[in-house]
Amino acid sequence: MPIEIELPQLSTWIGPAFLAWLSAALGLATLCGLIGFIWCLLLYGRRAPQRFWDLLRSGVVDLVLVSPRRIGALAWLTIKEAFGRKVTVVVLLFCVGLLFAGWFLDPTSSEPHRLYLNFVLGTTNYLVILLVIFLAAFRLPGDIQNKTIFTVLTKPVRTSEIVTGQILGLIAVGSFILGTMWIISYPFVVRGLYHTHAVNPADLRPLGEPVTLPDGSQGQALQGWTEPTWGHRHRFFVDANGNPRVDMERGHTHSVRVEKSADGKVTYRLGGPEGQLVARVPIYGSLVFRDRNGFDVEKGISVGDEWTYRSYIEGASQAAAIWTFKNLKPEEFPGDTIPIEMNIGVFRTHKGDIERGILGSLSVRNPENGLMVELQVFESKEFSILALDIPKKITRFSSVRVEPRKIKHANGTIEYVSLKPVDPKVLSQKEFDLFRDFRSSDGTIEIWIRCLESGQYFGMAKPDLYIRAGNRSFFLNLFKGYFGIWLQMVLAIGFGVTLSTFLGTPVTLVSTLGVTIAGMAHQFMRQIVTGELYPGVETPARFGPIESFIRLFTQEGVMVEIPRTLGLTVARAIDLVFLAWLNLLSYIVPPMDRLGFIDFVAYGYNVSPSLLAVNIITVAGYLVLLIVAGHFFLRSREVAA
Amino acid sequence: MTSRQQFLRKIVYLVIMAVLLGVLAYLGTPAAPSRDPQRSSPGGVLAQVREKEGLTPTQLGQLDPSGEAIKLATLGMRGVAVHILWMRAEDYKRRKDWTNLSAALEQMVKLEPHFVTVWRHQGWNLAFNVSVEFDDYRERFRWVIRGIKFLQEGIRYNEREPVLYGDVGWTYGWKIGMADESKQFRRLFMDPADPYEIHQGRPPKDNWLVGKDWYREAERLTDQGAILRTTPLIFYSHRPKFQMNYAEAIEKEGTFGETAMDAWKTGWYEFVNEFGHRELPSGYEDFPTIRLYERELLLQQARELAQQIDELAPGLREQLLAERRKELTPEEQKAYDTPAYDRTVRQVELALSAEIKMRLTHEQVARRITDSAKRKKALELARKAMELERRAQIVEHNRNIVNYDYWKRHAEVEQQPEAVAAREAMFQSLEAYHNNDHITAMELFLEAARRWQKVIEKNPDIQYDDGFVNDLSDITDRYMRIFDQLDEVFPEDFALQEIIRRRVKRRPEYQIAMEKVAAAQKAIQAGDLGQARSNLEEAFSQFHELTELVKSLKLLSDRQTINDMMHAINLYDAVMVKLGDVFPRNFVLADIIHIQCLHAPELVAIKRHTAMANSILTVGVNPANLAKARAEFEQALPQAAALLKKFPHLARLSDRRTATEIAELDINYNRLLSTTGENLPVDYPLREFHEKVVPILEKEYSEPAQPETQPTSARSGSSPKT
Repeated sequence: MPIEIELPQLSTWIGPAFLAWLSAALGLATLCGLIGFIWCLLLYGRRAPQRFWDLLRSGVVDLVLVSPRRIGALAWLTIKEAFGRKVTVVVLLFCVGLLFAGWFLDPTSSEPHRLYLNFVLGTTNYLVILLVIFLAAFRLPGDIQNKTIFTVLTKPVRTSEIVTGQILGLIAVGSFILGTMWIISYPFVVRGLYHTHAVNPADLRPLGEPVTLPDGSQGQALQGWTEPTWGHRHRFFVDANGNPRVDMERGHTHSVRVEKSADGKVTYRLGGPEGQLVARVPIYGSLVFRDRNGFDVEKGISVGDEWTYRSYIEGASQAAAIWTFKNLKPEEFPGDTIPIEMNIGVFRTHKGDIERGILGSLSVRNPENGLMVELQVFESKEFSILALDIPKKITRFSSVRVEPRKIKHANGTIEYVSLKPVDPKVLSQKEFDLFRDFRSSDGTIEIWIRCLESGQYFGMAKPDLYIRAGNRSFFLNLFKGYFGIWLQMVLAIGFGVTLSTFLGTPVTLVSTLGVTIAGMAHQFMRQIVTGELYPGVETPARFGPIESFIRLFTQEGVMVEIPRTLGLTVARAIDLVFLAWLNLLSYIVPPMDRLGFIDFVAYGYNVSPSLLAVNIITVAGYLVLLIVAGHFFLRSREVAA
Repeated sequence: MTSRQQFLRKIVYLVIMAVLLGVLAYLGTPAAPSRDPQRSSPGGVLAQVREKEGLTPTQLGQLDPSGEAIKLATLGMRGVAVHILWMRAEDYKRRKDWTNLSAALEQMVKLEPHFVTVWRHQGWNLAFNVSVEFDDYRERFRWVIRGIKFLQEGIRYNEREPVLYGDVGWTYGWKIGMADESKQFRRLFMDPADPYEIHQGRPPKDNWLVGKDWYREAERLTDQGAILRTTPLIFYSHRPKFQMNYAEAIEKEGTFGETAMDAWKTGWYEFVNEFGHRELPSGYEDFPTIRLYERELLLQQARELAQQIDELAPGLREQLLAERRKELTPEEQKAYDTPAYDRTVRQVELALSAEIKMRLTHEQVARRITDSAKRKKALELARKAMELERRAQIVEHNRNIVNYDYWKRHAEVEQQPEAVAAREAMFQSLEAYHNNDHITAMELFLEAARRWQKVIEKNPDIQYDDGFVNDLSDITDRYMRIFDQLDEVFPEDFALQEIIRRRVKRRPEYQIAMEKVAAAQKAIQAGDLGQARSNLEEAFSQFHELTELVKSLKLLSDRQTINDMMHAINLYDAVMVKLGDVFPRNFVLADIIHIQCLHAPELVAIKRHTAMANSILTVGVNPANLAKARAEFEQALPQAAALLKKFPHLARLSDRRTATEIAELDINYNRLLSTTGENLPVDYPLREFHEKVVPILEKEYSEPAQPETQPTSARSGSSPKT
């Protein structure tokens, strides 16, 4: 799964994030206080300081002395009203969508499970977010417009309770809808992906010579293919004992049942797909490259691919990709091996032998003393996961050596990474222990990947190789996928309710939609501002709206230099203002695109608790500020009224 | 506002609404077909126009309820949705997210099922661009088929779009039959198990023939009046060319005999009798439609009319031509008289200039007739003849676009049993080569060359066809690896020598080289040795370029060209003798000399005797062995002298590797004599070589390599490997 932005780790993220949140909160409070004070000055003249202080004091008191009972009552009111507005229609819409999904979901695709999961999660995302935005935008302004808010305000409730109650009520409604969709979508996906294949025993061909079985009878191994279904078929094997096996194809296999009729006729019955709906638990390492001269570099070489996600290493040279895994403990891997999975890119500069993939090698190295062995040679397979095992007891290996690592500095000096000496006897060992010989004292192991064929290249990014630390429940992972949508929904509700405390319905609707769309495109916004969208373009001003408009009409691509006229200079100057505004906006708007876990679920990777916690805390941080802001806005409105 | 005003306003609104509704109904009422003709309604203006132009959804192709449902769901924002999806699809492609790319395309075409460009562009995108992103050829093939199926899906919605049928045919043919992986692709295509669900239960058929069937279907549609949104000339040429590609493909895979001959015959028939006879738009206003086969007929008719003009004024045309010929320069006359095929690059220009000067229209002839009645008749005949010639010229122009003459002749020749037999021998030769039976491979290739010779004898005109000559020359270049493996050179009676010679003579490198050699000869006669040397070095550089282009020359495939090179080398040697210099260390034609020396019996004998002598001395240095070794050396010495006589320039180090072999013989023999305390005999056959050449070689070996002095183009040549 391509992960183009660094995934945060809770332990390292929380400190700086809290400080950033605190400074943003203080800054926002100061700014709002200042605006409030000026507003009071305009309204009350000399009595303004007193009024402002009263407002602030009572506001803080309102915030602190909230009653969960009253919040609950207000939330329940919101829920009742929402259901009164027939929100369940959205669930019906979702069901209708699922009913007709088969028209445009192609089960013959190479990864149908991704297609199905993307569809159910994507549809849910759009429907639920749109629903809650509408609910939030209509709820409070409607009350204010119909004056029904005064009925509530005349009751002994605090404004903070109204805002919190509204938000919690809407969250409850959204949660109910999401939960229903989660339950409905699971059988839809499982049923949608269900298929089986027929096997015609007559099509099976002998594999090798017949063998004599322990009971003295003759056995013959067979091989063949299953009948095609959904544009694929599986290689089918039967060993000499008559035990069948189905090969993995398109990320899944099938169980096989052997049925023998009275006349001795064998029938093979295949079950549904297995291994498609999974939640792998990956342990990611850090990645550095080694160039063709053996120096450590941050990136490999570019093969001219427009997508710069992967960088490449040259075959039959000293170039390598080095993953460093930290804190690896033997007890975490109960079996005899450590499973690793990789998904690397291949780039050929000549045709070579196209009947097979490019050969690469997998090695392990101890970063402390440089001891290294080559474990196996593998054949590359692009756009699919290649699973390899690193044995804990290494008995089959080659090229035992001490491999130093070196860095070439900008001034041309070469620095060797210091290594502890290795006992020469170790080099002649016939067996190695992975954790004893290749793990450093701080629990670090290096995995090296090399391309072995001259003129060919392997491309990789950090998430392309990981240690697979088992599986988690797919059902639970699907829940996490929905939970990601829930987090986005909570933010949309928060913004909707807060904005509705001081804006009318249409403006609230448009503003909340704007915030949500901007939040969903947060990474894109940052890429525009930082110029990462097209690496190599010298100035982000090229992505400004005016210059984009000029380029659109002159039909010039982003990478093309256009003549620097006075008009262009003016356009770029204006664009810089737009971009500065976009930059500011990118810090205010929540990164809603990072809150979702759709890709994790669709690609079959478990959402880690750390990532989950980071996203929950992020949403909580925004929500607290939104409730406080909403409370003060509503209070100021009440005062004005 | 009073209630009366309000009432009036409402009335006005109602009237406007009624008028607008009326206009809307007039324009947009849908057609209501019924079995009872009396009850069916043709609908509003738009519905009638749609029906007339064949643009109703039912006329365009199948209706798709899912697409209609999705269109409705976009609430009129279909265009926006398609644009967003298109951008997304591009982004998915960039990020190599194939699953989502497929999904985006699927959604896009649901929204725009009748927008043919979407189907064409994205079908091509899948089959040609996405497929090559995969390293595994099986995955590549899967995406090619996906692209084809995408196009076929497009046909379901646009049943009367011939270009879509053509695209399917094109992808079946070219992408499967001509890709780098065509061998593997064709194998997968013909897999009887049909794992990619291509043949829909039918027995597998060759991809070229399947492609041809789709083109045939497209032609059927255009014949029925469907609009062809591409160039008809090229479009209609594909079907017969696919048949010929099929014939080529099966021969490449080892199918010969009647099957191959029939395939070529069908190709010829479809190309000449079907495509050639099809009425096609010409692209010219004066003759908007043409048929490709008619050029010869038109010219024949024009000639007959010209003959009639000539009969009205016998000898006039010849007289006028003679007058014009006098205006040509001698070079132009020579170029004009030289057959087109044998003209040099310079002569081509001169001949063109001469042809312009010699151009005599029928009208010009007719106007010179003095008798007014005859002139009038001649002018009428001239007008008709020129019209015919103009039409023939337009036909020729269109023929050139599709390379009509080449393909026609190609199919004519290839269907002959001799040509099929030649191809078969070549195939068997390659098979033998792959089975490491190099001797059989060589024999079979030489047999193939002899069979090609028979084909040429039967069709002498093809040796003047650049395409054919280049094809055969390229084949020879490819097969030279067989000779290389065996350390052999092409035999002196190699049957395709003449073909290679023709190719060589057409190359500007050869022509320039020969001009430089001629210039050098003149300079030698004038005593300007520096100029001669410079000219010859430029000639060598051109010859070297030539050997890179016609690689088989390196293994002496054309002895005449090799003789031309040796002539230049001999001239250079003469210059070196006079200048007292030797050949440069990086002499670019050294390999050509070396390969000849290697196959000269003298050098073979030298190597044998020297090796024998050395092995005797390795066993032990004693008087008996010394005597035996000396005897071996003394048998080698006359051979060396003979070799030096055969290639005298070796004494000026034209080929340092051979010169070193001789020098080693000389040095070893001298060492042996010094061991036995003897001096060189008076009649020592290598005395001059010993005294003049060996010291130079010894000096060269003791020094670092000299900086290069040859022109840049020569630097890429071989360097002495001694």
